[in-house]
Amino acid sequence: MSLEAFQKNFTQAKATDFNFASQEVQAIFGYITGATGRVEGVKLEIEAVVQKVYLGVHAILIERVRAALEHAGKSVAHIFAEHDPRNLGFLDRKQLSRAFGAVTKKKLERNMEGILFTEVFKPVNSKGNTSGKISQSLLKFYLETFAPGSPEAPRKAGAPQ
Amino acid sequence: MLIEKNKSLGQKESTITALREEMADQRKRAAEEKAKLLSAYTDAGKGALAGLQRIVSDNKQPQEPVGFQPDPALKEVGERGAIALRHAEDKLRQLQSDLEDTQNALREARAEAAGERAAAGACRESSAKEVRALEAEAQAWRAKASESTKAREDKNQAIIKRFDAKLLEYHKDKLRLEDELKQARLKSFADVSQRDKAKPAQKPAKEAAKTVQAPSAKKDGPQGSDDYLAILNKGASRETLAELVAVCEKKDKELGVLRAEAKKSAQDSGTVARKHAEALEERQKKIKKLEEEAARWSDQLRGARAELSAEVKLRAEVQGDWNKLRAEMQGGAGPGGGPSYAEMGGRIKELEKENFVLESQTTTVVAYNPNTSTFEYIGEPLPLQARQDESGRAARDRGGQPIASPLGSAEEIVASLKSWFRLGVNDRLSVKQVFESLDVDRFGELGAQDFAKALARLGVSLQPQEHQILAQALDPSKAGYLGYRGLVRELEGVPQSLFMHPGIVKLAGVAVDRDLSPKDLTSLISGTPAAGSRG
Repeated sequence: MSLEAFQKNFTQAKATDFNFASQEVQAIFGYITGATGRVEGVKLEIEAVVQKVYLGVHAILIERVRAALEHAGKSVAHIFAEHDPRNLGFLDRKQLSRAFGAVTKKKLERNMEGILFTEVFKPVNSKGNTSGKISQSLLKFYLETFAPGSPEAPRKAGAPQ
Repeated sequence: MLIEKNKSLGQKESTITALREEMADQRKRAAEEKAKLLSAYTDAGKGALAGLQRIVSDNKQPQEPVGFQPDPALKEVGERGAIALRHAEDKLRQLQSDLEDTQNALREARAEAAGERAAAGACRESSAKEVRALEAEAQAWRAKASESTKAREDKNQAIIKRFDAKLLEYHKDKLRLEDELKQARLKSFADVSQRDKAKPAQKPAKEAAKTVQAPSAKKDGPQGSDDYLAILNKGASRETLAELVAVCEKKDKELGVLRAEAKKSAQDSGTVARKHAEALEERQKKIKKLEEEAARWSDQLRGARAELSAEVKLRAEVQGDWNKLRAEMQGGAGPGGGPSYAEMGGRIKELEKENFVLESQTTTVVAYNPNTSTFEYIGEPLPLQARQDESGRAARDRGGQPIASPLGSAEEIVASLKSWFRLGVNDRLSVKQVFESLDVDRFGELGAQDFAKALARLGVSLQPQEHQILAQALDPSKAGYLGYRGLVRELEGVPQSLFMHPGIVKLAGVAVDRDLSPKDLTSLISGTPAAGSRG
């Protein structure tokens, strides 16, 4: 997609909550394509934009949940104490949704909740399969790094210890 | 005529004056015009310079004038040229990569050959040493064996000599005794028979006895022939004969004892001789074994010498090749019109040096700091990325050090940091703890110096521009303190919007607020309506 078409799409989608100036659109175009200066003949791949945007979505979701927990004065340990009566150290998606709903007062929308639970937290069991349950240590890592007594980062590919 | 001439002269003079005045006017006008033009040019130049400076400062390409439409044919030619240029650049890069691969392979082969040569040399030396030691040992054994053999032979000879002497003595004694016994018996029988015959005539017998007594008048003792003589002197009778017989029997007994002794001695000497023979045989066996061993070692020595000579020959061949190559290198231009060997050698040296520097840079040095209980980088901090020149090689300053090009965005810096912490043993570095060890108050912030110090302990040195870019993300209020927690979270794998492009973050915010799925967002920004779209 050329810059003109990209700008045209943004102009067409313009709304109160979707208001991007021409320079902003051009900056996004340049950032994704790496083109500086002349952009004639340069094509943009929408998939690359979407991929970058959803990495940003992950970051925003983590920050929002984290901020909501801090604001409510709650910790992951509190959540597990309340919603994990059998003290298993794991919560399934429903339990976690209820817990976050109680903390944030505003439940996440369907798509965002799905992204948070399946893409960000990625609940996988020891065999590498999706277990559907999210561990306390993983939540602590994502939401409480730097909190007192916070755990060390779990071994992840590409992440320094 | 003179008047007419004066008149015409006056006219000419007036014309000349008029012309001079006109020329002066023209010069004045020209000077004025020149000044005007100069002023106009100066203004235009200043304007152009200011425009260029503005363009350079804005880092923007000059905009094409409004209404300017480039010739499509020219544009196509330009695009084709750009594509061809890109292809050529790709090919050049590929060729450079191939060259580097070949040089790497050459380096590896050289290192391998050097290693093999060194190993062969060490093996040769050790085998030669072993052979020398074995030779010395064999020689010592030989000397020892010959000494032992000689001593044994001498001893055996002495024993045999002694035994022979003893045997000779015994035989002599035996012969002597047998002679004496024989004589005594003969004599006694002769006497007895004579006495029997001469019994009637006692006198002659007495005379005869006197004649016989005369030689044995001296007293020799009771043994030997003297005993017989003594008995005979007493006067031979049947009693004396019986006595004589008893003496003979006694002598026989003595002879038997002597014989038994001689037999025993002979047996003893036989045993000793057998023992000596056995010992001698054993020694001979030992000597034979030693000789065989010595022969085996000699074979090994011969083999080692043959190997050594083959090695020497090979070395001579390699030396010959090397000399030939050196001669070619000194000869000038290389084969096929390419670079000369000398040039290639220089380039190889340069590349090896470069490789050494690069390898030194990639060698990570991580050590435990007991004061802060952290794993830190103890080497010289390195810039995040080496600048590359047009040929793809890392640019270097006059001292040969790589020049680092500053990274252009926070995202690039973070990506480069991530790749640094993935390199070698750098994943052992205690990123979080290093930052916290410098943040005494635990505010989650560090001053610029402490921040740089923390990064240096992690093996990274930021350039001023990079520091500035990172500070924009980590210290948006410009308070002079950089919040490191976001950076550490990002490095640990928790995505942070701090380091993302503002436009992307804004779009992400819209996606979250509108609860857009990736499909919805795609249709929104690509202008294609999707089924069930909520945007």
